[in-house]
Amino acid sequence: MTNDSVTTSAKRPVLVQVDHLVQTFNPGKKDEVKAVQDISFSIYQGETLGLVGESGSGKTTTGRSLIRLYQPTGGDVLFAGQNIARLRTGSPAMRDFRRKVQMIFQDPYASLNPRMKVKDIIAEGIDIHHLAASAADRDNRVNALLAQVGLNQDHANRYPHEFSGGQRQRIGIARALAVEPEFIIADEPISALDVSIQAQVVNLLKDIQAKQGLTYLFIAHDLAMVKYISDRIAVMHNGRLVELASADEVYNHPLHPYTKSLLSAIPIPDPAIERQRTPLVYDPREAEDNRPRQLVAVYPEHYVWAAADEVAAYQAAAVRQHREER
Amino acid sequence: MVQPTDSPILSVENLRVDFATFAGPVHAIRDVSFTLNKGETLAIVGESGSGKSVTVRSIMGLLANNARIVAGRIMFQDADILKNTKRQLNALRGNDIAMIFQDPMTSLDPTMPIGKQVAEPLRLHTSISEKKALAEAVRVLQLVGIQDAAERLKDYPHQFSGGQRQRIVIAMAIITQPQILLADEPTTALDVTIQAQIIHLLKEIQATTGTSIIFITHDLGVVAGIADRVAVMYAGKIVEYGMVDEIFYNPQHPYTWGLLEAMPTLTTSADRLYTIPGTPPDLLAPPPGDAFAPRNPFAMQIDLAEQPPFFPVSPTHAAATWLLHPAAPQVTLPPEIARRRQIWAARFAH
Amino acid sequence: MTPQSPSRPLGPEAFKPVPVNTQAQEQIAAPSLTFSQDARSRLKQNKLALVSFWLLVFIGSAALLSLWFSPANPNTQHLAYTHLPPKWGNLNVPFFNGYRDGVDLYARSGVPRGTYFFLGTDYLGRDLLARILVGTRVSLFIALLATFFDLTIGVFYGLIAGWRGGRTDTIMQRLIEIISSVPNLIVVILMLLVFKPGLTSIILAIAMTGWVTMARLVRAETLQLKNQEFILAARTLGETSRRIAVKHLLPNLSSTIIIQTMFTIPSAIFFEAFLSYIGIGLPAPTASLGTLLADGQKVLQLYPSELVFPAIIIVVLMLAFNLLADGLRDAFDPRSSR
Repeated sequence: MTNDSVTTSAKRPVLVQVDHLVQTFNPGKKDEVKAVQDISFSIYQGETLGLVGESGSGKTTTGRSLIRLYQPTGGDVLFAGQNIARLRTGSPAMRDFRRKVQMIFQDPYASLNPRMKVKDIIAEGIDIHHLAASAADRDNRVNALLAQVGLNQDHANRYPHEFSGGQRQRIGIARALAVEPEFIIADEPISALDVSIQAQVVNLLKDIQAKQGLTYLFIAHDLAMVKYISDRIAVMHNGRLVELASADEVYNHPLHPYTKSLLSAIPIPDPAIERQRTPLVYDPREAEDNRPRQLVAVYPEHYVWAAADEVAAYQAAAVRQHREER
Repeated sequence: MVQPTDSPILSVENLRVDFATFAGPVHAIRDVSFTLNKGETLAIVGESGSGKSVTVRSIMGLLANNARIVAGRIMFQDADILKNTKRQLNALRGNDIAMIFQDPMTSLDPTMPIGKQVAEPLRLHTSISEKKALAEAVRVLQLVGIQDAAERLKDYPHQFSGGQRQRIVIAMAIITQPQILLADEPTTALDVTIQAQIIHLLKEIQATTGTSIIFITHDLGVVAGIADRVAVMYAGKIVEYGMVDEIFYNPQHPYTWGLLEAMPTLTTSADRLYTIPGTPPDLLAPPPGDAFAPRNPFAMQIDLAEQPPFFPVSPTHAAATWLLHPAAPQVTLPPEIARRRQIWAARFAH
Repeated sequence: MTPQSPSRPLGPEAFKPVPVNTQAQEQIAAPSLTFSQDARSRLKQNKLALVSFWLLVFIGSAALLSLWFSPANPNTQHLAYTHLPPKWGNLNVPFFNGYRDGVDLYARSGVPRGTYFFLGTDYLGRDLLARILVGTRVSLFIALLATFFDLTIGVFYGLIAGWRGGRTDTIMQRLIEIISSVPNLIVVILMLLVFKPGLTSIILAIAMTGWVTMARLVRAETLQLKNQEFILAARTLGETSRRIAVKHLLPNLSSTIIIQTMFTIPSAIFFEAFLSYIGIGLPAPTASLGTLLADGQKVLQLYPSELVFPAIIIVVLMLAFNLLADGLRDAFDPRSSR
């Protein structure tokens, strides 16, 4: 099984390991949706794995299956060695998992309850997991979290609608941090923000990671920002992982035609480059020939979704690209 | 191939728009003036709340009920659009000036077949027969790249993908061969690969029909790809305008610098991204001086007190920043801006 | 876009740099308004809703106070005083002075001095004002009851169906469809087979069917809310379903619930009035706006005031509740207005 090479080649400790994850909605019915079709990958302790793909690629579903907002249809998700795909709601192990894994959401306007004060929003996890010894301790924790995300105590008693998008997103981050998680899934946390605010949030996420040694799964469609924040990048298309490698590798030596088309479409704020740009068009029918494909290592730490007879060509392409670079 | 010209087709003069709210009037547009030349694409860039959408909506007479145009003129064909009666406005809308909205999911009527929808502006503004109008719809649908357009006329919007729907919206906008296309973030809701195709399509349409486009976006990458000229908006004002190369290689306003600096490119490897601190001002009570001053690392005393006028940089380029005042000190440019200025300087060295 | 030069010469101090104060950036100047304060201030701007509100308060307290301070016993018959016109003391206001067709009916019927019927009497000589107050009380009681069923059965049913979704939802929806496919009137008529006409069958009919719209609305809203990211966030934090319902769903449903209650009330009032009017509601001699209308209608051509007064009350009640509901909707959801 080539998939095994994906997981065993790791020398660093693995925090999250996804094995043959399948997520199907309304299985067996007319409106069946195969959102995630058999993907496997692992996330190393302390790294940021970027997950990119366009709408409908299954990237958000993957994140939500990983945090058990959805019950996976098939496959396993191991978090710190424990298979969380099989955890029962309400069990002690599940409660523990709920504290250790947190999510940052996309829409800063929908992710905060409009009827709650900021301090109660942030303290929600503290209350659920009984992390505060007293009311004063709870307030102190909230204030410390507010300070950590660059807000101040005066904001604690206000309601979400009084804040700007960027401030709201930081409140959402504070809420996630309140339970002292180890792993954070950031589901397009900046795509709803203005350019000048995006950088603030990304810097904040990086600072927190550096300070607390967090592991991130960073889901996005903005490839430039993903490239900047991620150590490794996984590219998703039609519910499958088509390419997985280090951020530089994916950007400098993309192998899968879909990755190439995605990269060719990124708008660059430079008119001279834009004038010469020729977007590559990827035809998804290329992969619909019913040949068995899987994620194969075609170069050290560089995986591509390929059929058995395509592997050689990818390997050759990878070697050629690397030689040209030198 | 139609080239952009210098003859103005539309000019917005000293436009001011307020929104009535419970807390008082919000000054959404604060003295905005610009011209659109025949055959060119003018990109208006800005963040949410900068007033870029309100500006084009005032051109179309599509402002919300609580909006009030306080001052200004919008001149089109030697007449002030703002003085138009409803009937005159309707004759203009969708005929001489057409608009493309952001969300292709909501800008089509889900209960009407697309052929009829695309042909509708034509039926509305001319006395053409239904048959001829549908034939014309097939032609523009083919032009925007809908395959088998003739067979798909009876299909409903939900039978098309997001990118195809935006193509249909564009077909609907160009069927009357409007002189001006107003595109309000037409690619923001789309995936990057589809976005690239739509931008390509708009450029093609412009090259063949010579229509003028106002393209609103917050994405400087998109601007670099489509614009001939650029106007940068902040807090209800234009802070800098110029030819696309002038804005990208020789930017003058610190806000433009901030926008360019904050966007990571694929080559950015700095430890931290450059950020513009804080948030845009509350337009209920705009600051007396330069609205950007509180977030501007290069702010000076005068910025807090007095609004900067436009200082010309070239005949086509001006910026409203006191840094361009002859008495202002030289500032150290942010690295990304310095790099861009070098490209600009190198161009003149040749 | 015409460049211009500054209005006056500027000294060097004008170009001194100013440091950026990042903390000041995050200040929020506006006073902190909660959602309900915001809604209240919007409601206060809606004159029509405000007038409706105070009108309802007035009618409601008058009806309630009449329990202790009734102008007369509503069921005491004075066969000598039938069909008296209204008379407001000795104020001699036209139409309210006890005269009809130029004849002082009070004197003719031998009404003792000092006895006045403010809105006249009916065909049994009963005081119309007292009867209208009783009828209003019945209507408001029905309103209270409908609200009760709306808030208990309706909200609970909708919450469960919407939150659980899937098969539970499908079954609960089919049940609702069955319930709402049987007209209310038929339910009441069927109940006449078991019970005597009266409040019991009306209450049961409302209990069985009155909450259906509320349940549907709450379900639809819950379906939307449960995919909102703040609910997902609560789930990823490990919040239980019950706590999510109390902490997140109900507060966000509150405006829908309040507004829908305001629309349920007039329809329940009308339902009771209608049943009493056609004679299968409250039995005689109990007064209800419906029976008053029925009685008044019989003598409409001779004594129109006996129909007009109860009619005015029911119209005012319905209108006020509807206008208040509209006002509340606009206050809670500013986007829905206009």
